[in-house]
Amino acid sequence: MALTDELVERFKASISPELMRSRWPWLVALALSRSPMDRPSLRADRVSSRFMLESTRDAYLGRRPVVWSSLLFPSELIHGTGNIAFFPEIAAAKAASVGLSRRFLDAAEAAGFSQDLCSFHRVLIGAATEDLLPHPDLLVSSSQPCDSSPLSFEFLADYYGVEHLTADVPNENSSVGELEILAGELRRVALALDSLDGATGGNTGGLEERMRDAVELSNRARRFALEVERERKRVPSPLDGWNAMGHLAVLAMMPGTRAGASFYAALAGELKDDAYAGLPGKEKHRLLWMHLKPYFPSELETFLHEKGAVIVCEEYNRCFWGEMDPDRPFDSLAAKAAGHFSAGTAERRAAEMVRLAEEYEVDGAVHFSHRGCRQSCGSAQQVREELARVGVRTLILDGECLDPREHRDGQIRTRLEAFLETLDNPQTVGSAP
Amino acid sequence: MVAGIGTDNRDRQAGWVCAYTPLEILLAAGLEPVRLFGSPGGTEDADAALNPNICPYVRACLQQGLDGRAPAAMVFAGCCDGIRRLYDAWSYCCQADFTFLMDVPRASLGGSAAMYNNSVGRLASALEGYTGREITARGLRKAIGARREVDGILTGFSEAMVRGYDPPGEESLRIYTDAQELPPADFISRYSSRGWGDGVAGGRSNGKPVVITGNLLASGALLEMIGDCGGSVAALDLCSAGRFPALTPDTGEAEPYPADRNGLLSYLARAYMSRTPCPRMLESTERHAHVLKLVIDSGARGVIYVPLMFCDSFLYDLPRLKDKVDAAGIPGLVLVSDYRDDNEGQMRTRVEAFMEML
Repeated sequence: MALTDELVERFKASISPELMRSRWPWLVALALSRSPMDRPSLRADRVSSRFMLESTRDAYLGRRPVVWSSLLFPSELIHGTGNIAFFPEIAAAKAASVGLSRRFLDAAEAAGFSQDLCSFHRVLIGAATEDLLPHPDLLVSSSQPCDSSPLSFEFLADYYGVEHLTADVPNENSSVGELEILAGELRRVALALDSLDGATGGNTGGLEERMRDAVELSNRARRFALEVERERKRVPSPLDGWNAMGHLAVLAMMPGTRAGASFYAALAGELKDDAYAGLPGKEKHRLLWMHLKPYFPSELETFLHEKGAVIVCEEYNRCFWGEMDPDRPFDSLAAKAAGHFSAGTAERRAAEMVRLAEEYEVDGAVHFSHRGCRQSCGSAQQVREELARVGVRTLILDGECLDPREHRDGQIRTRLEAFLETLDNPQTVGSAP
Repeated sequence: MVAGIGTDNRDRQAGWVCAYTPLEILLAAGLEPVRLFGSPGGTEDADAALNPNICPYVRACLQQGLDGRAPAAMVFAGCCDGIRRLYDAWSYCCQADFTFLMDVPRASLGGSAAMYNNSVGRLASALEGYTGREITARGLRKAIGARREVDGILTGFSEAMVRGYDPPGEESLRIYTDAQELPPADFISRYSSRGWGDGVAGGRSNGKPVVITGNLLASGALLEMIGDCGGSVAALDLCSAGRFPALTPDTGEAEPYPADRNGLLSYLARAYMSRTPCPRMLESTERHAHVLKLVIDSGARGVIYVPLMFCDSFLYDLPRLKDKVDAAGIPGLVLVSDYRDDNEGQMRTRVEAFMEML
């Protein structure tokens, strides 16, 4: 083992609750993020990294009330009420990216959680039982995209002895009555959030006024995010989707903040800038990537680059909601929550994927079927058939996002390679291997 | 396993798969509600249409639909990702005249209850459109009356088991299954005059009493096995057994519901939302207390947990429930079920060891 690898391993082994709650690792991390040593491929990533580091530091140090949120719960409610938003599913992915997921998976399994459950939630439960996550004052979840968030949050609320509020998002967003009910539930959650300590982030107005500000900031971020999406439709694509999938963290955590708007403004500007070099190499295949990816280190990213396969669009990393009315924040946020394709049937999801495939002019699609994800895997076949109707071949790739023990890099590469070969031959009709 | 469904009555039946489906509305629409228990054999076609990592009950039900052995109308209470995907696959792959997906919230109070209430109303309207028959207050009252009688018989049976009534394994499951497959009138005529003893007449055998908690069992094989190994089933806390009754039994007092159609629909929505909660609901404290009460009331010496494989609702709840039961000094055995019972040898070994330990 190289010296640096050994040092990294020693550091990971030394991670303890006390370390996470002391100031110095955060001082070091923030200093590194500002230094010339840290050169992300996109300048915009500096904005998001800094926001997330500061926010996570504040959560660990308990500087304001900490609210744990599931991935698709509207973050504007948490920011608008002046609390710190902590998204444990995103933290779980981050833990996997630095090689810590196995430790937490073992801890969750020791606590009685089945290996059949989603590894995102097993990792976060394992990290919680090792006391390595910031303590929540409240947990909020929504019923989309899947069952795991409300169910695992219910365990965690009990574990930490705090309240868990969940918003049931209706399956059919066409029903005005049900959206009104959801808006009422979001208002109820906002009142609970607002009562945590009255932190207002400098805004001394009432709840409605602060929510109005958060929604306006979210709208600003959304407008720039749509510019990013327009740029990404170019041929060749200016952005690599494998890395851009990391921006899902921004999409979930940062709407409703100034940093969120700044991130998308910076990214849109960067992609439009003539000086931006874009992606190296030739774009041979344009891919739509569905669900998520393995977050632990793997060779798949390099493999796709070598094959000239560029992920030009990702199912989750998109602005899925419409412009919101700041004067009606709760109605708007209810519409946002219900606007996600996962709050509905497979027909809705498939129609959305067909639209994306056409808009981004993809010539192939990959459905990464994360082992513990019922909501996504269960509709993969239907999505594949609908994409086939518009001439887009789909590879359903069984895999794991966070559990490296279940990952078979060679097997996945073989299947991807065979799939990309079928894309080379447009005469081949039918489904992917 | 598909006893209640035949080709001759397929058109007048409405299939359902989750206990949060308000059966009284189906009855009031002139349909015969029939729970699907799935095809007994392999599920290869369903595995291909869904995914092998989806709950085996869901896949067995889809296989039944793909085999053309399901009712023409299907109502899906969208209680979990598995059933929502079952609805999708059913709509896409099966020959159905009517499919409906209900919103089932996770809490029983506030906006969640209102959401379920809306969903119940939409189901009633959709069924009226399908059958061409108006769902009247009179029809609802008649259906509620019949279902209360069914639920009353089942509740009496469950209580007798807790007190010590000890039917053979298969028989204890049969009554619950019949309640979910037969028209209420047939069920009532078959069971209303049966007695379950007073806790002494049936008498618990010398077996060691155990409580079973989980989703649903494919057959009574496990129950027979428990009897063979020196055990006695004191309660079946399953959504297809002890947790199935949703309505309060008729006690001869004033009817606890209003006379008008909307009031009756709201009554049903409240009744179903406040039933003994399934692990999918966020009222886990109430559910855990319910299981502990069954243990205490029956004098059970152990709990056998039988979650279905890939059932997120039960698997996330299991560690907490088991901790609470363990803390009460009651040992437990977890038997994850593939809904096929095709690992009988292994299961028997584990049940034998557990019974010996008790």
